[in-house]
Amino acid sequence: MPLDVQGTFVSQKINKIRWIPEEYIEANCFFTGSWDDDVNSIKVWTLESNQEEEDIEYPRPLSEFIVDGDVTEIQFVDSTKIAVSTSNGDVKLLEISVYDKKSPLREIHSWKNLHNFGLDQCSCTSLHILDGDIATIGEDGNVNILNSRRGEISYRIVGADSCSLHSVCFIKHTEVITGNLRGHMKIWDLRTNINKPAASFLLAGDEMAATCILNHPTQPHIILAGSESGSLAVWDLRVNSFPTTLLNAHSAGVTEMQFHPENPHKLFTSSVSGEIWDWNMEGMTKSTQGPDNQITTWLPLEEKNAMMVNSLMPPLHKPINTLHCDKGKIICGTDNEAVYLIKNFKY
Amino acid sequence: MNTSNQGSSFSRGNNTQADSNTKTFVLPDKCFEQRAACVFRSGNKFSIYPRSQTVSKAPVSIDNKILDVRQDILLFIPILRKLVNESNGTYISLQKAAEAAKTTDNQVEFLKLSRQYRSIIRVCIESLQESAAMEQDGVKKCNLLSYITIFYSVECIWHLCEILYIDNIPGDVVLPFLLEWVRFHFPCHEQTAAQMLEACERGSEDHPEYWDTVIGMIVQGRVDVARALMKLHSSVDSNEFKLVDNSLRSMPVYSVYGGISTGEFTISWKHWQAECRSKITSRVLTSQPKLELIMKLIIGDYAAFESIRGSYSSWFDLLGGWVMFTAPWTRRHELGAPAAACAGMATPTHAPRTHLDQMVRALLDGDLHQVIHEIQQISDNGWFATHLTDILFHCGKLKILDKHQNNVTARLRDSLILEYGCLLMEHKSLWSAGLSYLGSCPPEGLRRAELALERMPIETEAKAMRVIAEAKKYGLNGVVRTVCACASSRLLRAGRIGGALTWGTRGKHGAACGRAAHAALRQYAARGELPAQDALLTATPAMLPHHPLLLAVKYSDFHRLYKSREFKKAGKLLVSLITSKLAPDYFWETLLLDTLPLLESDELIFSSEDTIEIMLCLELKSSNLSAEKADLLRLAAVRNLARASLADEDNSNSE
Amino acid sequence: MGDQSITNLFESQTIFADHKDLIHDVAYDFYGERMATCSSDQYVKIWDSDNKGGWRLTGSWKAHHGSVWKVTWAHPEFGQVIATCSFDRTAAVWEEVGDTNSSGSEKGLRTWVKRSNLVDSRTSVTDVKFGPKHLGLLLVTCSADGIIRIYEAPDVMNLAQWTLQHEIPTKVSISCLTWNPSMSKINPPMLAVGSDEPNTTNAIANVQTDKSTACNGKVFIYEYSEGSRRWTRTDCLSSVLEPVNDIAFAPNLGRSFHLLAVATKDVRIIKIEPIVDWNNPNSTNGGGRFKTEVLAAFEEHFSCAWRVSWNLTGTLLASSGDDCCVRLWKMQYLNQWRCVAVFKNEPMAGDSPPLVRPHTAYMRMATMANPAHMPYH
Repeated sequence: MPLDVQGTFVSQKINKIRWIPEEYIEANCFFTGSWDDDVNSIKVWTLESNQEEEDIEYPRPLSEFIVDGDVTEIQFVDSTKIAVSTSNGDVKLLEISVYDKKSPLREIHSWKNLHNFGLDQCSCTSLHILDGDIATIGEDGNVNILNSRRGEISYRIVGADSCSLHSVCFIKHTEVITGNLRGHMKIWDLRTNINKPAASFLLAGDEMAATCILNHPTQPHIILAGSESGSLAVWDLRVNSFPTTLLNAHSAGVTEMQFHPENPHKLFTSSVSGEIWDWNMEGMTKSTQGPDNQITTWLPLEEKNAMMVNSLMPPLHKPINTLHCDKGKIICGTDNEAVYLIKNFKY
Repeated sequence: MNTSNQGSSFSRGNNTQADSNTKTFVLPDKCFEQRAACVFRSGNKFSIYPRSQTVSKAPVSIDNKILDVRQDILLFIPILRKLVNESNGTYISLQKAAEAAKTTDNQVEFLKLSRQYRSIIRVCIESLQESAAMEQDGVKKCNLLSYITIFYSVECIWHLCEILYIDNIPGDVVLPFLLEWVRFHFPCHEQTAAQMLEACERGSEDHPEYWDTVIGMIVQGRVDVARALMKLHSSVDSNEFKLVDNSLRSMPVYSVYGGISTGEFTISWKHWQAECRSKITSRVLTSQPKLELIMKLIIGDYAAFESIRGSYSSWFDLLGGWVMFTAPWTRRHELGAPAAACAGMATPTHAPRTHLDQMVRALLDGDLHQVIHEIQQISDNGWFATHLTDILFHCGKLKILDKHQNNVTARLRDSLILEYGCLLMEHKSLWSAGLSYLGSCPPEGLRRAELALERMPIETEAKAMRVIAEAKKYGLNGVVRTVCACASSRLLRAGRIGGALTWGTRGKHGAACGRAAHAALRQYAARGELPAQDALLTATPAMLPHHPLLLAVKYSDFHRLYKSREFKKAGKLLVSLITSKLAPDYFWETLLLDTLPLLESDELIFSSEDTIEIMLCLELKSSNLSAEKADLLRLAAVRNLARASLADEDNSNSE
Repeated sequence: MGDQSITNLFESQTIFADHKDLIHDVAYDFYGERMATCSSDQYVKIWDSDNKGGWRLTGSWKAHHGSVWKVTWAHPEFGQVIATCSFDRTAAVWEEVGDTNSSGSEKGLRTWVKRSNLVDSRTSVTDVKFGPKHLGLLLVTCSADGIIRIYEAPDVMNLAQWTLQHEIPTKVSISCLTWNPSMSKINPPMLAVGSDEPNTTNAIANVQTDKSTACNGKVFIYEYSEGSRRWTRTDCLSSVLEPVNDIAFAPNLGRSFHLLAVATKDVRIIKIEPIVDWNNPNSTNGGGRFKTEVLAAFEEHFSCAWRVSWNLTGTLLASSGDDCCVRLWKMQYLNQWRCVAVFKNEPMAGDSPPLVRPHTAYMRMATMANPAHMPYH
C-alpha cells in the first residue's frame, strides 16, 4: 500500500507529539503539546474512523491539560507517565490512566521555576530521560538531573553554559551531552563536582544552534545532532570530538529526529522548512562493522550522496515542529495548527 | 467585465456623518464623562483613559480607570481557526498557480483551487453545525447559529461566483450549472422527494408536502423526479396526469453537444411550449389545479411563478426554473434580466430583502464591484472578500475602475489582503499565517510585516529563532537585527553576558555586541572573574565586528594562555592588547596590573622593547590607576627592563 | 441578515489606575506588553501584561515635584527605559534595574532608578519623546516657553550621561511633538511640533509675506541637516491655524510622503510630501520643502480635539476631544478616511447588557441604537 497522508486541523500550533505506546498492537492514542498561543495545553487524542469511510481515521480529543507557557518537550518516563517541560521554566510529571484515557491527566510532581533568571521567567528548553533520570536544560544555561521516582533534584550544573542550552541527551547514566545556541556541544560527567565539561566541541562553524541531539539506539557511541541551519552532524565519540559527517540536509532548522523504534536503519527528521524525511542509514552502519573489529569512520563524506532520503509528504508551507513514529504510523505536528498522520510506512 | 466606480462607492462615508456602518459603543464607566483620551496599544487594541489636559485646582479624589478595548475577532475562535489555517494553504497554492499562469493557461488549476476553498467552507459549516448541536449555553449556541448563517451565505455566493466566472462552461450555457447551484443550496425538496420515492406508496398525495415537493422538483429542473413522484399519485392513470406527464416527457433539453444549433432547438422548444399552452387553454386541466399550475410553470408563466413565490424563502430559489422554462439557452452573463424578473415577484409576506439577496442580485447583474462591496459587509472579518477577490483577480475576471477610469483592481485586492494579513498578525498564534499573506503583497505587505514582526512579544529564544527564520525568508533583515538586539538586551539585564554576546553576533549588531563585551570587561574589572569564557574562547573571527568584543575575546585568550602556563605567549598577547590601545578607560587598570605577575616571574617574559611599551602606556594611562599601584608597576617594569637588557646583551654576546 | 448582531464588536476590560489625581498620559512600550501611566499626583506607574488579558502593577514611584505630563518608552534594544516630563520644569530618564528592592519586592514591585534629570528648561516641560532607534539614543523635549531641546546619550550603556545637542527656540508655546519614524535614507531626521499658543488679534495681524518667519500656522516641521549639523525649521503648515493639542506622525509604510495627524479644533490628517530638489537637496528656502495637503478634517469632536493616536500600520487613527468621545478612523483602499466606531458615554445603557466571556477578563461592549443605521429593504 502506498503512503497515506492525512491532515487534521486542531486550532493549536503543535510543538510536541508522542504516540502513547501499546503493548503488541499499533498505538492509537497520542499526546500533543502546543506552543505560541495565549493558552497552551497538552491534549490526549485517539484515532477514530467515522461510519462512512472506515479506512480514514480522524484524531478526536479525549482530554486537555492546560499549562503555563509553551510545551517544549514531552518524554516518557514509563508507559503511563510523561515528563513535560514548559517555557515558563517548569517541569511536570503527568500520568495518564491506563484504563480510561478520557480521564484528565494527573499531575504527579511539579518542579516550579526549575529554570529561571532570578525572579524572571526562563524557558526550560528541553529534557531527556534515561531510566527514570530526567536531564533538563534551560535558557539559564543550567543542567538539572531529576529523579522521577523520588521527585527530587539529584544533580545540578549551575552555569554549565554562559549561553542558553537548546538540546540535551544522555550518553550513558553518568554522562550527558548538551548543545547551545551557538552549536557549542559539551559533554558532562555527572560523577564529578567540577563545573567543567569533560569534553567540548563545535557543531559547525556557523554559530547556529544545536536544536536536537540523539544517540543511536544500538550503537550508543554514535551521536547525531540537528542544527538550526538544517544540517545534520554525526559523531563517533570513540574516534574524535569533531563531527565525522556534516550533512546539508534540510533548508531550514532540524526540529526533531527519531530512529524507528524497530528498525535502527531508519531515521526520521522534520524541519522548519516544512519537510519530513526518512533516511535509510543502512549504508552507514555497515561501515562500522569492519571485518577485524577495527573502528572505522562512521560515514565517509564521499558516501553522502549514496544515502537514501525520502520525503514522507509534500513540503508544507509552515514549519513541522515534531514527529513521532510507531510501527508503520508516523504523526507530526506543525505550525499551521494541524497534525498529519502518515500510514503504511514500511520499515 | 468592466465596472466603473462612481465616485468612491467603497467608502460610503466619505462624508462621515450618517454613515450606516459607523457603530456607537457605550463607555462603561462614569469616569469618562468629563474627559476621555485614547492611545493605541498594538494591533486592534487601544486604551481609553480619563485624560486631563489641565491640572486640577486642588487634589481631588478621582475614580481613575483605564479601559482596554479590543475588537472581537470572529476568526479567532477555535473552529474558525481551522478555516483560517486550511485556507491559508490554498491561498499559497493559488499564488503559485497565478505565478505559473503568467506563462501558461491555468484556468483548470484555478477551478480546482476554487473548489478547494468551497470544500473548506463546507467543512467549516459542518463543524459549526456539529458544535451548535452539542452546545448547551443559549448565548453561545445563538452565536454559533449566526456563524453558520454567515458561512452559509459565503458558500452560496462563492459557488455562484465559481459558476459565473471561474468554471469552464461549454458554450457559456449556464442552465445546468444554475440548477445544480439551486439544488445544492436548497436541498429540502429533494430530501422529501427521496423519502417519498423510497417509501414508494401509491397515494402519496396524502403527504402534506406532496404537491410542494412535486412543484419544487419542477422548478429545480428535476423533471424526471417530478414525474416519478406523480406516478405515486392515486389518480396517476387519469387523463389529466397522462397529459401532463406526456408534456414533461417531451420537453426538449438543450445541450451544447446535442448536435443541433441554438436556432433549431429554439424552434422545437417553442413548438413544445405552444403545445403545452394549447393544452392549458383547452381547459382540460381545470379539475386538477395543481397539474394546471405545473403546466403554467413549464411554459414560463410569470403569474404562476409569482403564485408559488411565497413557498420559497428567496427569489433565487426560483431562478433555475425560471431560466429553464423561459430561456434555457441563456448564457452565463445574461442572467441580469431573469434575476430581475424573479426578484420582482411579489411575496405575500413582504419579507425584507436580505443581505444575501443583495449579493446574489449584484452577482447575477455582473456587478462584481458591488458584490465585493457587499461581501465586505459580511462579518467574517474579511475572510471571504479577501479570498474571493484574490481568486477573481488572478483569473483575470475582475476589473475595477475609479472615477478617473484608472484600473484600481490590484489596489483593491492588495488592500484586502493587507488588511486580512494584518488582522492575523495580531493573533498570538496565527501570525505565521498572516505573514504569508503580507509576504505575497510586496512592497507594502513586507513593510507592514516588518512593523508587526519587530513588535511581536518574544518570551523565549525558540520564538525569537522562529521569527528570525520567517523574517529571513522574506528578506526582512531589519527585523533580524532588531529581534537579536532586543534578545541581547534582555539577556544582558538578566546578567547573561554569554547569551547577550551570542545574540549580538547573530544579528551582526555591532552596538549590541559592544554592550555585551563592555559588560563582560566591566564585570571582570569589578569582580575579577571573567564571565562567558566559553563563548569568548570559541568565538570565530566572524564574531569580531566591534572593538570591545575583539578586546574581550583576546583578553579571555590571554587568561587561557596564562592558566595553561604559556607565559611567553600570554605576555605577547597582553603587550599587543596594551599597545593596540583598544581598552576603554575602566579597563586600563586591569590590563596594566595583569603585567605585574609576568614582570616579576622568575622566567623572563617581556623583552626590553615590550617593557618599554608597557612603561609608555603606564605613563599615558596613569590617571586610571592609583598612585600606589602605578608606583608598584613602575618598579616592576624597571626591574624587568634591567633583566631584559642584560639578557639582550647576553644574547648578542653569545652570537 | 443575522450577522449584523455580531459584526464589528468590541470588548473591553477596566483597569483601576489608582492614581490620586488626574491622569495625563498613558504610554505602551514597543511591544504593547507594558504600560506606563502618569498623573498630577506626581507619580508614574508601570503595569505589565500578565499574558492572560490582565495587567499587574509592577512599578510605582513619585517621579517629579509637579504634575507629570507625559511618559514615553525607549526602544527595548536600549533596555527598559522611560522618560517623563513635568510641570516642575524637568524631564527625567528612568531605567528598570534587574534586582528588586526589599520594600518593593514584597508587593512584586521592581525598582526604577532615575538615571538622569534634565533641568535645562525654565518652564514646564510639555512633551518628551525618544528618537527613532536608527539615530541612536536621542531624546527631545519641548517646553511652554517654546524651546525644543535635543539630547543624546553618546554611550548607550551610560544613561546618566546626556548631552544637550541642540536648543531650538520657537518663540511660541509648544505643547506637543512627534518624530518622523521614517527610516528611509532619503529623509533627513524630522520632527513636527505643535503650538497651543492662543490666537490673539496681534498674531493674526502679523501675517506677512516672509513665510519662514511669520507664518501664523501652529505646526512646524524641523529637519536636521547633516551638512550644517543643525536643526532648521523647514516648513510651517499654514493649514493649521488653531491651537494644537496633540500631533503624531503615522508609521511610514515606505511611501514617498508622510502622514501627520493633528488634534486641533478638529482632527486633521495632513499629507506631507517632500519636494525633491535635485540641484540642491538641502535647500531650505522659502520656496517650500514640502507639498502639503489636508486629506481629512473631522469636526465631530465639537470645538476641540485633544488626542490622536495611530495604530501600528497607520491604517487606523483614534481621536478624542471635548465631546468625551473616542472615534476610530480607518483608511480605505483609495486613501479616503471613514469613521468606523464611536465610543461615547451614555447615561442610559445601550440595547444589550455586557456579556461575560469565559477565559478572558474582557467584557463585550454594549452598542447604541444607531438612527443612521437603516435596515435593508
